Amino acid sequence: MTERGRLNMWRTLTVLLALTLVMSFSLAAADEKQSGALNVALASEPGTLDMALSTGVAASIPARHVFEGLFAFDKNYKPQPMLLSSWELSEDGKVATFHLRENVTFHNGEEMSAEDVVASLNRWGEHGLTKGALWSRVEGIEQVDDYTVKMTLTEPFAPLTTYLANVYGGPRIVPAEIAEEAGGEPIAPEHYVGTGPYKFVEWKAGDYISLERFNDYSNPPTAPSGFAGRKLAYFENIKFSMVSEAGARVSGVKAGNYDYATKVPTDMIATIEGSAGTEPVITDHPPIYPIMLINTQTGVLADAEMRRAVQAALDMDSIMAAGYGNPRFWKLDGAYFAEGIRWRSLAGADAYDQADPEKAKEIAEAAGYDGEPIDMIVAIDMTAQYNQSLVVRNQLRQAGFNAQLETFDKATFFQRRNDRANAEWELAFSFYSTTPDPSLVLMLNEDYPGWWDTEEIESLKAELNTTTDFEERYGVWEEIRELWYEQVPAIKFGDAYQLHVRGETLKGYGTEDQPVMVSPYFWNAWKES
Amino acid sequence: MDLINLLLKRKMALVAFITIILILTVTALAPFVSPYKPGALNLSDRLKGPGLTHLFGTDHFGRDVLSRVIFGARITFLLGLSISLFAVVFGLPIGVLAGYFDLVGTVVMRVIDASMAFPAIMMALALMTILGGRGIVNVIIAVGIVWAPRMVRTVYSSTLSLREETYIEASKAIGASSTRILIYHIVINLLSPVIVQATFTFAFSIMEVAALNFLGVGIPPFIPSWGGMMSEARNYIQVAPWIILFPGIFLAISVLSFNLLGDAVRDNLDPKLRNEELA
Amino acid sequence: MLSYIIRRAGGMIVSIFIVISVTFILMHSVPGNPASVLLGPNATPEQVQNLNESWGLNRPILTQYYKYVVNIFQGKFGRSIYYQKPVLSIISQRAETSIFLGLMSLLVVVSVGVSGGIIASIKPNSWVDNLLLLVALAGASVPSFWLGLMLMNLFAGQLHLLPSSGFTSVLKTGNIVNLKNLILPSIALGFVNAALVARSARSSMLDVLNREYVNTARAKGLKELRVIVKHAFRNAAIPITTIISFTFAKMVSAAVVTENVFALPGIGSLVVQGILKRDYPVIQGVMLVVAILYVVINFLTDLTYGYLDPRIRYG
Repeated sequence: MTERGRLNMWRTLTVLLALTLVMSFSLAAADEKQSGALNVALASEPGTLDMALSTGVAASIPARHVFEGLFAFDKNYKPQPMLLSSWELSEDGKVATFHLRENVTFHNGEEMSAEDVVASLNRWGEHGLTKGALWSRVEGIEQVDDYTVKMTLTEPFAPLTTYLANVYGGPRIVPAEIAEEAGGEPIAPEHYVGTGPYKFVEWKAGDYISLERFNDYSNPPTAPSGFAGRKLAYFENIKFSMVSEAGARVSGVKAGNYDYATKVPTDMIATIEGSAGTEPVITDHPPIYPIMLINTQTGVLADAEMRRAVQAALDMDSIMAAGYGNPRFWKLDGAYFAEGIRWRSLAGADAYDQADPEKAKEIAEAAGYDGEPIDMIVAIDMTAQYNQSLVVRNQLRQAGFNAQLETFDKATFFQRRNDRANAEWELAFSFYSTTPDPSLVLMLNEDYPGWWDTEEIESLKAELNTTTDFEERYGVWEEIRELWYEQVPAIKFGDAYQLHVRGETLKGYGTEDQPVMVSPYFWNAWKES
Repeated sequence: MDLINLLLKRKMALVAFITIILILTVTALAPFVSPYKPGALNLSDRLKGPGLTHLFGTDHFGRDVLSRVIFGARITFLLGLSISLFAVVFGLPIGVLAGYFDLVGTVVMRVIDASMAFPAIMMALALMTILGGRGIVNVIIAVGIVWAPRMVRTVYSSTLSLREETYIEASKAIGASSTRILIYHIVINLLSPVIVQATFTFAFSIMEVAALNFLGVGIPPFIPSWGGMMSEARNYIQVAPWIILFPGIFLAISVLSFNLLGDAVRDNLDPKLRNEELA
Repeated sequence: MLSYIIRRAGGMIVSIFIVISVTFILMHSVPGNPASVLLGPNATPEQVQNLNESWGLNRPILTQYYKYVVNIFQGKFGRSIYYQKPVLSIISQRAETSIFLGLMSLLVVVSVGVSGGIIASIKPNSWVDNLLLLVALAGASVPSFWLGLMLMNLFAGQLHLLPSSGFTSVLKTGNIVNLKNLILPSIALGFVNAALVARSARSSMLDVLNREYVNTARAKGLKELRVIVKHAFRNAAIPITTIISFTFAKMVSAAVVTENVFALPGIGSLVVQGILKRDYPVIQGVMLVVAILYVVINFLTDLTYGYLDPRIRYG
């Protein structure tokens, strides 16, 4: 045995020993944490758990437990390998090689191989909702061997791993035959087969989705951090019930029917803090962004001058208070990305929250505004958005605009909003979760409602996507923000946090390593008996 | 006058009548009696409990609940009235023709029976979604379409029995035209059951509009209506119960009064009618 | 009798056919479509178009209608677009909740309504009568969702006496205790519908109590309670049955709202979700089932008359 060989042997032995120790320790601890059933009340029913075809938060909550991607976001929203043991990018940034972890089993008992990854990525590339900027640069994906996949790009793409980690409309890895059979249609529930710590059991229409612990789950070797790292399934099963009435969700946690409830009106915090057995969970990591889209193509606001007039009129304090109630749950913020996110930039933010109806009137008059109607549309089932629209309407009227508000149900609202050919609206109200990278900000997309399509933004966008150095990209993002405030394709009102409720016996969620993230997740969490 | 005699005879009907008159008066005088503008937002005064400045408290926009209840009565009653009218305008002629001419009756009542097989709220919900948006007119049409068949049925069965009356037979015998009989003998005699049914339509449609609002369609919520207020307030029931309580109480009182009055009038007119409407 | 049943059956089929046709037209004229709802607000129009295409929703409306009707006659109700399951299996899965809710509410309706009506009829126009009438009418004057929310807030949110929402199958788990989830909803639903029954019970009883044979019974020296139960109530039962069957139709409607308030997995909340999500096959399926139920119950009510009152003949 050579010197080197002996060293290698020792290394292997040490690693094995360490692993055994870690495993036995975590198993011992795990025993005490073993819990029965977890009951979660969701505010709305997902359309599908097939995340390639869904951008819904409600869908992502159960789906994160069942499906995994090549990458996952850690607690700082940095993508970390999840189903990969390692990966590398070629010198010129055009070839990415992914090394899959071995012995990862799907819920159907088969081992995950490169073939499954290629098929899943290809399906996503064809039909996935957020394939956009990445897929237009993918030249091809090929299977090198059972555990290696190579992706070739036409040009370097900085947010590559972010796209692969993203769950909303993003790529999840499923068995090849399932990916191929589903094609452009959502995967049928009986074919929900992933690699996650929980496997899908049943979807009772309009009632609940139930999951069960997956005993053959293959853990990544890294420590738990956010959605990434080790995932221990302490709960035998998890039941996500659909409870549309907010009062029923809160009463349910109070009465012990549920252990966790999502999306509770923020004004209820007093009753939650004041009642024994319930704890508030504030999802401020990161916040969501309530935003008003502006039709830049047709109607009276196609004129950028008029859009600046609207921007000048708004008083964000009242708008945010109307939308999100209790001041603990919102914050004024002129930057797009909230505090604590590395992309945060206040460039151009002088134009934020001017609350100056007189100035708005002057600008509008100078632009030749003569009482043409400004049609505002909003979905009544998006309560915070409706509440904000009402205040915006009053503020615009005060500034002399002829603002008209129309309310619809969600499906009709989105249909109207997205209909570019005959857009009959000037302002549309929505909210957005934080994207991990500026290139994913929807309003930058010329196909996205509002249809921001100027030469300046096109060239800045191209620069943002192809530059790889963070400092340089940050500079580009600052320029984009300046331009944003000047051309006003959309107006962000502020940062908003959501209120969730948990029963106090639910532990292990909201800790240092498993912080409250954009949506709740329950691996590594347990229930005290 | 019949009505006065009736009211004197029936204490409960009298109370109901006075209540309705009171509510209507306040409603008519809304701009003068309401302490605030119903749409005035004041976000620094959100969710204040009932007190001296705001007798019924404020809602989640800091709007005065009392003022909104007063103005809400206007829209609520306007809707009830319009829907009842809608039902009468469509229900009376169709019902009379169906009752008088056998052939028309067979066809019409088949359709009416089918339309009664739709649960009212599902039908209204579907209609509201189709009509798109949430206009007051849309609500009147959607709920009106649901209630008109019930009016047709009432008119139809009353016409059937009137047709057999001796004086109608007599008119026919002396050669009066169908039009003349229909207008001078049947429609005139139908007025009472129609008014009674319209009263109930009024009461039920108010509740139905509220339910539609609760399900997310209905009147645009920025227009103050009792149903809209209640459905907006449901998220605050644990922290600010007064927002949902007051419109609910006033809605209940109004509907109750109309029901009591309708009951009394009907019992007085024709005791036989008691069990026939309302299905 | 037989020809009567055949004639009625023919009429029932026509009614049901009208219902499914109207539902079909209604649903397909609603703006928005299943693909746009499923894919969510951020999908591109092409993505929506493609998905609708593969679901066959881009075909001409008449073709779809024809196919739908043909399928119905073959007993095929179609598959839910959302749940990707046969509509019938979804409806039957959810029927349990609605049936239990209906039965328990009916229990509330009958116990409150019938007993209230009878008690009121014993001494007409007394203060007991007036009070009962007032309470019954007040119940009918409250929107059931309002009452539901109030009950939920009090009994589940504040007192923690009863569960706030949800319902787990009794048949599947064999656990009858699950029915406690339906107590609040059935009170909310039953109470608002009891008034009608109470009034009808009262007036029918009054009607009967003044008849000669009741007076005869009294004259024979029978106890008043016996007179009321044995002689009067039996004869008052016909109109009461009618009104209960009418109440059923009203309750189906009110149950839609109640099920939504209490997050009960029943038919009513299914149809609301179906409409909001544009899940056409589900809506059509539910409307069809409800329509069938409605006409069948009406028919059975008519037959019941014959049982309760042999004088009625079916010609």
